[in-house]
Amino acid sequence: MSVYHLLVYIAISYYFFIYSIHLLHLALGHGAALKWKNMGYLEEAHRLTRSTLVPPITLVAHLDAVDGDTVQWIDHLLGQRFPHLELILFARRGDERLRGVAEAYYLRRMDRVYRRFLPSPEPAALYQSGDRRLVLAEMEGEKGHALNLALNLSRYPLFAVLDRGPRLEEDALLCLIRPFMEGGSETAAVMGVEIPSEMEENYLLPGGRIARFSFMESLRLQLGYLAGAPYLGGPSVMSGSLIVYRKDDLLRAGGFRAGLSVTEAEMDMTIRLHRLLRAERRRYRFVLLPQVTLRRGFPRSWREHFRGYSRMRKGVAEAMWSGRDMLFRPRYGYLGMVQLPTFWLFVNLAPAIGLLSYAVAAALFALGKVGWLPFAAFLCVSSLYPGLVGAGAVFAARRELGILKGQGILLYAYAFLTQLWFRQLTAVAAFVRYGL
Amino acid sequence: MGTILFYLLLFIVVALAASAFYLLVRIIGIYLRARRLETMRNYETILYAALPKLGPEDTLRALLPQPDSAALEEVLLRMGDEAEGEWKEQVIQVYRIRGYADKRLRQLRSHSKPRRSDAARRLGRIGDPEAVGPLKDLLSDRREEVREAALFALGRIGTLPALRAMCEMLGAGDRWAQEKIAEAMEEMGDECHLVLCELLQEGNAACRAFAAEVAGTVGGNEEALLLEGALRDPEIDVRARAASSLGRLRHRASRPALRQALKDPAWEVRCQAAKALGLLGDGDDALALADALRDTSWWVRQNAASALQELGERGERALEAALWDGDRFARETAAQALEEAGLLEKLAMEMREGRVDRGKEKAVRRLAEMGRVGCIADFLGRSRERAVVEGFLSLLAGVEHPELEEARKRAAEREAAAPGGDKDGGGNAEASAGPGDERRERGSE
Repeated sequence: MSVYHLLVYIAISYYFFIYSIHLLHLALGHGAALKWKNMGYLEEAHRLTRSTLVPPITLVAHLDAVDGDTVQWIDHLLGQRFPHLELILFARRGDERLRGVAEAYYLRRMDRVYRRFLPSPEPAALYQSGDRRLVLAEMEGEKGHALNLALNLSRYPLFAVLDRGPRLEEDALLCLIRPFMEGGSETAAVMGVEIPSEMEENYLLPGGRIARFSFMESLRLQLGYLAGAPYLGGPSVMSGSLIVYRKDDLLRAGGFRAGLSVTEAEMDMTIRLHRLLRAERRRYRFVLLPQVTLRRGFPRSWREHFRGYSRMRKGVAEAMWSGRDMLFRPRYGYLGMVQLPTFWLFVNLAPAIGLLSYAVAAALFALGKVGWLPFAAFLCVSSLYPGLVGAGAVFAARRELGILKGQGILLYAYAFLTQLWFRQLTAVAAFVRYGL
Repeated sequence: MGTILFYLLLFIVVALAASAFYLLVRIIGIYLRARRLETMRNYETILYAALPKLGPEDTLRALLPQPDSAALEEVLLRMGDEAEGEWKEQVIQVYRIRGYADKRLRQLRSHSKPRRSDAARRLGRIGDPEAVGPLKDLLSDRREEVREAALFALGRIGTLPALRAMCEMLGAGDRWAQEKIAEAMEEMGDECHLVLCELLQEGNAACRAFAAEVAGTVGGNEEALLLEGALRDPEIDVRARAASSLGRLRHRASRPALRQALKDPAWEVRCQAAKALGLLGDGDDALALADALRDTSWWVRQNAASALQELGERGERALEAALWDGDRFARETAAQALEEAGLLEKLAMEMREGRVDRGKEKAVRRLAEMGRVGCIADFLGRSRERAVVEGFLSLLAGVEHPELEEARKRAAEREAAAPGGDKDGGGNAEASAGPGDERRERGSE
């Protein structure tokens, strides 16, 4: 075997390994979905509305993350069926919408007394509704600081971070807090499945090609990784439009890192929570509820898609770097020995390795150093195999989430095509543009 | 090239064959489902019409001698979901006669986890009280889904023995199990009181804590007396939940016990006692709550301040008095509570009506002296009534603060701009308390 063949076989092994792991996560996620379904999640959530045993929750969001009518969005959140919730909103100083919100909810400026668990900047002004359910903080600092200020201000034991202005499904919050109520291992964080807000009908794909491809990729990530990863000591990072944490855990982990966007701060927090809970030798789990909990805007153009992707990559890179001390440390179990090394190799460095693999394989084939069989095998394993994983995620979504039931062949074609070129192109573009 | 074409064609043919097979399976599936639905509709019609008249045995013998077993069971389960009283008894009878109950009870001992879980859920849906014993055994199953299904089933059966069986899960401290038991208790109504009283005297602290918490929702006077006793429990959790429940029960006779609980060594108990006294809303407790404003725990101070807000006039007086308290934390907490209670708006209304409340005036001035002028400045910025603004500014004369200076300057500018002033000096409360008209202006400044 020549060195050229060896290079191509390494590339083939790389892709085969990465997508086999994906497939394993998908199978585990599918199993998890079946488990939640058997436990009657959907049927019983609404019964919690009147319960006194449901832990109260604080929702936190930044007005910058909200598209469209802010007041309507706040109404939507405050109108959620949940025994006790409070909403803490942040706005930049001088934001026009701040005045509108204050007027709409008759917010009164307060010199509020609150406990300072974490270092955070003082808000320029704090407004509060009469029933204390809505707090609006006028800020001059960064968003990361805003999350820590929210932790100081919040009065409830559960802390939910909202991003990208999501619209929650019926009883979504009730479903999300149930893992915190269950016995057994402690729940560190919970999120649910996100689908595009453009999907008017649950059984049809959203409008716009980029949104469709992006949605397929998101499904693969959610059902093909996040749902199954907790069974293998993961996930390494977790970010979404609504994640619920225990406030106590966040405080003991030292709060959110300042100067990061919400996505980055959430990813960083995943690593910090892993570290904290492992150090305290607690049995814990991260949960992706295999159930549609919210709708949010998906990218409609390449520009939006690349921006979101680069933000995610930056978050992953930051989180991986901050958790580098956990690599290959047996005390972190599967996380240190499997999840994090795999994540470094197959996610953090994936665009660079992927681009290199394609370039080397194509060049060697063009120069006649390798035959068509190894090259075809490389293309199959790097494009068709991922397509299979993507199609598997769609299958799981149709079967367990009950969505996307209306466009069978087209749907699978999109799932397949996403892995065939969309993902590769995104990785290449990110590499060229951001050098990640 | 020929080989490639051959394989390509082969691939296309295989793909087409697979698609055709898939479509065929789908069509057959849809057809079978439609037929089953039709059968179930027929069974449902027969059962609803004949069961009350003929009884279970005759209905089955005469009208459903050889039914489609799966379809009939599904129909019975759906009827079991909705049935109550005598009608439910008859549905259970049919379920037993057809042998479904025995089959499912056997399946509870199956090695297969989904089968055990499914059997438990079915028995729960039908609500057969005879299944309580085997379901109780399932509560200690090693699989979470099975335990969950057993809990669901026992909750749906909803008899006293079922509830007692469920209560065995309380020792584990699983919040979800507690939730299911609480739901079952709520649905059971008065019958559950016996179990609740037993639980309140249980040796296990987790059981007592649960009972103390649920008593606030489903309990009555009898439980209130037991809850007062629970305020002396050795466990903090039990005492705290008992205090909270006494508040939710609105049991006024428990006020002395709750006032005593304000001196409990555990802050969790003091905090819940303060909240409960607020819910009871008796002005005589104002003094005790005002003392709690000096508590070392932030939560106790907050709850005491909120409770004082609930007490009305006497509570507000106590809060106003606390503004001069020697304890800084008590002062700060009282000040926030007064701001939240709308002290400024109330004073403005009195000014409009020509009434004078020295206590409120002094309190507002004290707020400013304490440096808590954000709320005052915001109010003055929003207020459109010259008389009210002037009243406040004269009240705050001599207090130095940049935000107040700004408010004074703005008032002077407004007066200069509109020499006629606000003719409607006694304008309505909404106009005065309306949201910040000039906030944008201030923001830009």
